[in-house]
Amino acid sequence: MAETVNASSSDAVDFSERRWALVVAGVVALVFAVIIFASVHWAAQPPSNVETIDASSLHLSGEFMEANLGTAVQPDGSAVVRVIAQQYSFVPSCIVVPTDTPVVFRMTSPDVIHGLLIAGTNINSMVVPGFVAEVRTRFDKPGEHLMPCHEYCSVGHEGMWARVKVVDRREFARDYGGQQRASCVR
Amino acid sequence: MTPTYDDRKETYVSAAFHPENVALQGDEDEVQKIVASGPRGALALAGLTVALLLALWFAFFILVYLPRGAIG
Repeated sequence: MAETVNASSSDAVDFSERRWALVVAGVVALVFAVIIFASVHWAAQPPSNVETIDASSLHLSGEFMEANLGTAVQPDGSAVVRVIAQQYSFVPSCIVVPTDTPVVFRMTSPDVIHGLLIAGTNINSMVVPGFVAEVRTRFDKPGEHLMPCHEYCSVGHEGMWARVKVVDRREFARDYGGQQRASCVR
Repeated sequence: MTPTYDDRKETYVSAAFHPENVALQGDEDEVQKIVASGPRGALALAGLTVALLLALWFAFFILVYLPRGAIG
């Protein structure tokens, strides 16, 4: 009697474990499927641009000269925002971008590692000297976002932040369309 | 102040040594009958915790990540 009951209890445990393993595999598969669908549907990916730049001559020539910083509207209508992150400020410190427009943030650092984070969005990247951080996004609605440095960059880190002002694309064209490199720094 | 009670004189026995707490109650057949119905309590507990975890993950995904927009 005891042996037959032993066999059935062992079967019951085996069955439960197999069933639970299937449930766990299903949960993992579901989470992966959702992530893969969102990534493919959105073409979303972690910012992984590997592009080098000479950090010692940023201010002298090339893409990140001071006159080239800010938001530049491209011939195809998209916007490229070029920003320098330095101890202890972002230049420009007020960034203006239009809604419903593909926006590319390009940022680099002349000194130490800083962070690019725009509150209320998924934008989050490191800014490493010698490399250009690039993040592509699109803003659906107007608003203002805080952009703090989120990599500790030394004693003035807590005061290093900028603002990102998202304005309606028509308003952007009207108010900032005449500027080669737009910003909302007053 | 002098202590009025010396607890070192007491003999303490762990609850784990009391047969009524740890010994098999009933016979082996009874235990096997219970085990034969499967670990329903463990499955209910594990199912509930995994369901909660999954619900929280989806809540963050749908309510926080998706509204924040795509990046690339």
